[in-house]
Amino acid sequence: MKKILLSIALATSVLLAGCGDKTYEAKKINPATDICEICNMSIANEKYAGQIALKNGDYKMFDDLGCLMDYYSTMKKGDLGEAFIKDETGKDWLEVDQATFVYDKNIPTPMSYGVIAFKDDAAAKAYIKKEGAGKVMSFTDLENFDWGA
Amino acid sequence: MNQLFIKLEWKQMLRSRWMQLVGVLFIVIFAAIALIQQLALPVDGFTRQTASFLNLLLFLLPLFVLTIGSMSVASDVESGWYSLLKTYPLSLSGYIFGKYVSLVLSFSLILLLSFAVVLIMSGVAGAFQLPLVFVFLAILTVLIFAAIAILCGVIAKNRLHALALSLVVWAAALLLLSYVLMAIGTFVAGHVMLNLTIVMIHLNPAEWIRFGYFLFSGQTTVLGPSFYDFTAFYNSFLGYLIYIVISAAWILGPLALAQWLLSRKGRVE
Amino acid sequence: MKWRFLVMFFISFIGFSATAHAESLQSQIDKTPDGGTLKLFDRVYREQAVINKPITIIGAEKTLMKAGAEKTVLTIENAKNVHLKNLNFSRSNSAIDVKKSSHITIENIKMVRMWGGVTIRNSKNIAIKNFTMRGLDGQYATKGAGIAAYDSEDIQIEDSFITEVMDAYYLERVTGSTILNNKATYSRYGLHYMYGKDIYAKGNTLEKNVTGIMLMIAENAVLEKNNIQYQSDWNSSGFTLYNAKNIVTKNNKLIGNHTAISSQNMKNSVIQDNVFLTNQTAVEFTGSETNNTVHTNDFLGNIVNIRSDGTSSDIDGNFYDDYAGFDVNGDGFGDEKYVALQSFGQWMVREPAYQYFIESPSVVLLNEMDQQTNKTEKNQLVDSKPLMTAISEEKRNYSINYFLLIFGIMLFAGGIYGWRRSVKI
Repeated sequence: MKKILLSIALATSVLLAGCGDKTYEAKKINPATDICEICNMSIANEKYAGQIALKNGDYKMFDDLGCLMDYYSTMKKGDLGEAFIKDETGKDWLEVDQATFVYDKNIPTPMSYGVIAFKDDAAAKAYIKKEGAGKVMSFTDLENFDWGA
Repeated sequence: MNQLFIKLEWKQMLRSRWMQLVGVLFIVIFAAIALIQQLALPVDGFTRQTASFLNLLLFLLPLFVLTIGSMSVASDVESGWYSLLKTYPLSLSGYIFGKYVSLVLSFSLILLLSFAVVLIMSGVAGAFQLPLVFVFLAILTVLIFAAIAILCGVIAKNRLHALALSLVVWAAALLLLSYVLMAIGTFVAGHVMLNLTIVMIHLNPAEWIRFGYFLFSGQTTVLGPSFYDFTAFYNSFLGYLIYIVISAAWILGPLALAQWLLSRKGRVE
Repeated sequence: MKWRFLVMFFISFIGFSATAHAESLQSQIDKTPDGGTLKLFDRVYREQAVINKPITIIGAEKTLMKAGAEKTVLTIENAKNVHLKNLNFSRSNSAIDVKKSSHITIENIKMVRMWGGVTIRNSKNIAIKNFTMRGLDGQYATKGAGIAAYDSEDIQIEDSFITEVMDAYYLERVTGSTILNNKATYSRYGLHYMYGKDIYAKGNTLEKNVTGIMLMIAENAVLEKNNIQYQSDWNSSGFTLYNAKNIVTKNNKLIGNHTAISSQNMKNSVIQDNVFLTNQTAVEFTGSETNNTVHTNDFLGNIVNIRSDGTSSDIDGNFYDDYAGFDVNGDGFGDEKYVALQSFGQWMVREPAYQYFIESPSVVLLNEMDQQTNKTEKNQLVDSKPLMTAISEEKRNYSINYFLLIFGIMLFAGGIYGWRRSVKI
């Protein structure tokens, strides 16, 4: 009886995990338990958080874009579902490869990498204009960026 | 009649050499553990000492409850004692209930003696080393595994079969299911593994009791952050209620099944 | 005539002292000459003030300062030789901001219900002593830091106690910091270093935080004689050393933590003479392959002593309470090597869901089997010279509890009597 139930549970969960070709949703962050996959810091400041949804349904959380890119650059790209980053307002999740970024060393991100994300070029430029400092970057710039803070 | 039967069973249980041996064994083991704990380091939380205490409880209690309980029922059927009983005005449920209660009571007596020894030892050393949650879980272990023992005894054809069956159940609950799960975990995704573990906690009485320890001793963080939502749910009032309901199901389920099987057995004969 | 004069005098005196009492903090500061000493009144100051000259400000017994939510009480900017003493703060966003200043001392400060305490930016030679702070209730993500320093040099913090904040002591890009005999409890991180250099922390007690010392991307640190206890929250650890170089952790006592020392990508570091007592995991290595040594530590009552993700470190001459070998040749070291490698330990590092099985019956048996099969292990987590005696001593007082003794004996006798009676025919 137990074994039957167990195998049913097993089968359904494997099936659920298996039906792969889907859109990936960003998960809500739990500040009590979610920690950065790379640096182990708790995600106390959600405004700068990022996450990567893996194909197998697991999520990896990051406290800073720099940590996310660290993971992204070393992971097997076959496992990648979608990578998300919070936009500068801290409200919406953006797909990392669609976003525009601004770097300035004085932007106080949790790991002080100083890069934040915007939904489009215009928003990024508006931010730079407002703050009076910063450099617009694309996702490809990000991949070759020296994170040595 | 019911009361008389329980009394009779209880007397028989306590008279058996097996039971007396188990009693002595438990007292010696608990005394030894209490002694080790006195020497151990004065630290609270989930440590190797508390873990070994919990594991001992989980290893030994189910083993003896299962073997003694199932063999007692199987021998009733095998020796014809059960057929004789049926000629008395004793209902089927009365029989099962009597068996169950006497089994639970005799093990409670053994537990009482063992805990008394622990109290004496801690009294001598001055530190109280018997958390209430252990007492409570030991009783829950007896309650649940006694019901499963009765079921095993009813399923078994003879005493040897009952012994084998209870050993299989014991090994599965304590070891095999976890090993299977751990092996599965090496190739499935983390969240699948997590859900399977949660399913297993409910389907395996030994894990259910172990989870109860973490829950009621307030040490759910030991299980790691991936179990946050799960333990947060069980830490609520509704969660406690569900813990009680599922525990009750683990007692009543096997007993009801045993009664149903026994009634069928009677008809076939 | 005389009485008239007296009355006048009296009235004017009252009037004068009243106006003096009502005088704002800022004007009091402004009136004090450079390098002078300002003694504050025994009253509540509800305002903000800026200090930009050498001054010593000493509070009276009941001096209390509050600026209200979202506001900072004192700002020290472009100043030198400022000394603050005996001040109390409450219900403000932040108590003291130090910007571009040097030679500042802050002493005997108490604060309650504050979002943050002291913030230091671009400054030099700051000394804080006897600083006591209790933060706000609630989840740590919504709170500030107790003492935070950014881009500064030579920070010294002593004999302070901070509780219920996000990070008790936060140091970012600080070169040269000395943290002595402080305490931090119920916060996210006790001591949090980012991009730091020349770090010295000694004699601190960090208890019941998420993480005791969080050292990230730092160089040249000595962490010694700290008491790191009961960090047992989700993801908790005593020390987390991430991307760190040249770190010496010695003579620390790590008790009852989820993970006592968790090190990631650590280089050229030494863990020595520490006592690891009843932690769930004592030492964890991930991606730490270069030149790390763990030697002459005590491992007592931990569930997992050392685990790693496969990267090996140099483990030598530690005492393990679960070592089963003997010392026949009498050199003080066990004759057989100690293998700390456990398959379960490795799994737990890689997949968090495995944590559920920690020290479960099945895992205990598995570890026993590991002990046999791992005898052939040569490289990973092997201590070839396990110490036979612990470096620390634990003492315990024995006293007899008669109530328990008598209660236990009665219970036991009652049980035996019941058993015998039931067995009688």
